[in-house]
Amino acid sequence: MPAPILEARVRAQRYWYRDGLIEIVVGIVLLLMSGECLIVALGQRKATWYLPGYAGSMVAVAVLFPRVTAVMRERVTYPRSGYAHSGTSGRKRSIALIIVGALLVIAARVLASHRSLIGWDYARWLPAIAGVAIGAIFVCESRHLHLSRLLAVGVLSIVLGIAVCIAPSLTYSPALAMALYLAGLGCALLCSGGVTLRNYLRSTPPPADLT
Amino acid sequence: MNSRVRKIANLDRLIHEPARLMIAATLYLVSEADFLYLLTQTELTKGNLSSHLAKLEEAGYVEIEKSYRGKIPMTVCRLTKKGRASFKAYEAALRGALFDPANGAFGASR
Repeated sequence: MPAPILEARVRAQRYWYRDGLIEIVVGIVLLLMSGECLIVALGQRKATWYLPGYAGSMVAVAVLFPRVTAVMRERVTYPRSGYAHSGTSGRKRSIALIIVGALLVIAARVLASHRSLIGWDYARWLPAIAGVAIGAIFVCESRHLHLSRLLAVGVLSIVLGIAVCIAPSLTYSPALAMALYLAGLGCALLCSGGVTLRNYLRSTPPPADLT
Repeated sequence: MNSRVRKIANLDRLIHEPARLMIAATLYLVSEADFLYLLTQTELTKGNLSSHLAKLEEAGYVEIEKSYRGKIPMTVCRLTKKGRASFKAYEAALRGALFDPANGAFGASR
């Protein structure tokens, strides 16, 4: 495929990140997950409100957030720079993400039940593993789309994941380390998305008449 | 003129026009896009874009759907199967005509 077409394809894919809304939504999801880890770290897992609260937040993440993002895009992005839908449908992407997430949870459960067999306390290093994996995804995406802010978030994810694992005061509580990692990454994404959204709103005023 | 260069004469003239080529190339990369997106990507004027879209629609290359998203009117455009195939064929023909396999570069052979 000729380079101009490839370049245009990358530009079309980059359009998805133009308003920073996706980073804000992912940041909020990570902060919710961080809250869940904090509850576990504080030993409140058996509280009566834990399960309904956890289920409620998961439903909010799965059902509410895609709709909220769509509504925000309809009000913020589409009137300013137009609507474009990429080749892969949102539903297919969501199903793929749910399958990957479910497989990761199953793998973590299996590892947890066989901790004595593998002889390695993987839970302690979970933030580092997650940090490197998520960071690698961000770094690859930033290289592919030429978005330096994603590179910064990716590097931060790797550094933060490793830092919370080796910090001496946190080694006794893996759940607290995970909560700190997720909170840090969530805040970084919120900041990145917020700045991007502010710049987008400033640089792209809504047109006088809509077609 | 060699046979490779003569292929240029057979290019699809409907797509070959620069403005329509921009529209087709933009729509080729997404499954659908609205009028405003095409306007910002191609930097054509509204009238120009409208008339070129109408020509592409007339040829059956583009499908245009007027709808509302909430209270906002939207003109959603997408390439039809025929349009997608034509753009692919155009791209292959242009490549075949201008790419010199002997040199591994674009340009007519001497």
